[in-house]
Amino acid sequence: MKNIVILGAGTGGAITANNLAYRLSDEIRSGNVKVTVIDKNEYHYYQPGFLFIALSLMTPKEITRHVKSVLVPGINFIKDEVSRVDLNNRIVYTMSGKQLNYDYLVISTGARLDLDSVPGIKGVDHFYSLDAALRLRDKITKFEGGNIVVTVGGLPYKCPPAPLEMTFLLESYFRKIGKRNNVEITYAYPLPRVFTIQNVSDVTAKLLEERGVKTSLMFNVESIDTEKREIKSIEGETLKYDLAIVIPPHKGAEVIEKSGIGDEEGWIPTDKYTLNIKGHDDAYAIGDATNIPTSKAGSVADFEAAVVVSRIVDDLQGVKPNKVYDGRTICFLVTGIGEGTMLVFDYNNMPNPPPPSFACYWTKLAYNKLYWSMTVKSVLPGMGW
Amino acid sequence: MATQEAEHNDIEKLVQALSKPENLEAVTKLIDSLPTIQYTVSKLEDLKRTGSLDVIMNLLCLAAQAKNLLTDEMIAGGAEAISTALELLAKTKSPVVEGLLSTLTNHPNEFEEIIKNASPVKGIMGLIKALRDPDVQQGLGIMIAFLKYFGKYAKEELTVK
Repeated sequence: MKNIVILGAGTGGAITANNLAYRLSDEIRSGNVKVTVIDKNEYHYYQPGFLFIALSLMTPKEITRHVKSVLVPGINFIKDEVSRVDLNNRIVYTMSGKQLNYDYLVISTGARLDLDSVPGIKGVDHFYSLDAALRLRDKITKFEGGNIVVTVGGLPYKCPPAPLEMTFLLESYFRKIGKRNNVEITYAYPLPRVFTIQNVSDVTAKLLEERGVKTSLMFNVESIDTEKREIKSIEGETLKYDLAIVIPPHKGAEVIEKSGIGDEEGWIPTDKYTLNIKGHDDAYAIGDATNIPTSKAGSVADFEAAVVVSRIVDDLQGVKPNKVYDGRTICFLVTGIGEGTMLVFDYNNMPNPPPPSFACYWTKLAYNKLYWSMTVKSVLPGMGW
Repeated sequence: MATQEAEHNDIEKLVQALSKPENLEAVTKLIDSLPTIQYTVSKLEDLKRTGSLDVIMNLLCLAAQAKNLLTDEMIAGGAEAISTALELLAKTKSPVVEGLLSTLTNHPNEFEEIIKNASPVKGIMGLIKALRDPDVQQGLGIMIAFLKYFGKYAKEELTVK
């Protein structure tokens, strides 16, 4: 029997497992293949929903499901924490003492928030977990006026448009409730532009200016003084705030560091086309866990999962795997309550976002719901196998 | 003579208008875009020739009206309903459900025959007699297993959350 072990039941891990279960249903039924998913978490979150929760546009129930319920029948789920991965001997060790041998390994352990590298960051807000988003939601709804600063604590971070989206949503939220004049919003970013990609930056910088949002560029957060309510940058600038929303720096999962298979930040060195962990043709890394030079976004994990599934199935069937990841990424960019645009790009093509429209916003609202069936459970491709 | 003067005035107005940098820039941009404009016009002509243009215009009007009628909540609600339906559809891919469905679809003639010739089960003795059939025993076992599952989870799922 061939063992396929998947670490992590987030977006990438769940999609990989479900598609393998669809494509290898006969082999799983006959006991020739076993697909195992290991995750310590009980719940699977639709992470882009955190942003909407902070603005009271979605509820926790809408973005939360039990991990077991997002995995289709035929998958062996183990609720446990992985303590170490031995790529050379093809073994995964868990905290409860289990030892799993594998023929194929897919690491989809995501990214973790690093709340220790920036002094004072624990005393300000973010929206990168459900609890944090709910805390922020309470503060936003009670906010009567003052300075709001939106910034990022370090690059890279998950969902690159998120700080811009938060800024645009805050601006339109306060405008809608008639308090815009009481609120000054500053968007600070660590690059000399407002977004990582130049042409997207050009479009969004103009929108920020039109909407009276101040920008502070080349602002790399050094420390936060929660007593004085000040954020200091390495460049020597200081921003005063009444409400600070600072996206924490990100690192790879702890188990990657412990296993000695990541770089200094804990990202796994991964071939950007085959998605193999470098030096291991039986092990793959997908999603936020990799060091691939693309966005850390759910769509990336989704497209990568399709490649990995295809490669594993081909290999199992004795066919030389030839499917590769072309860097395809799709990111919605909400530019206010009721409007948005979309970024579609890959390794060779830059995004060319259409003008913000209600149609894109509604597509995003619809996708927020369809994520569970179309993306995680991959119902439509799954029906074809 | 008067016509010539009027023409001269018109040209002068045009030159004056073009002397404004923003107008000159707009005209220059228009000239630069002539290939795109030409291409677009040819496509519009194709659509008009095939009668599609009026259909598209009507559909656009419909979309514009729909935009006024729909709300964010309706979009999200509609998407949720589609998502739920898709998930239900996916459940038919479960090996067990697939197997149960196959019992109906893989033996259509036998299914027709058995259902058509089904005779009524009369009284306890009739039931006991029917239960002697191994196929009925198997079917009853599945029905009881279904009832066990249904009874176990129905109360939980039917409780208003």
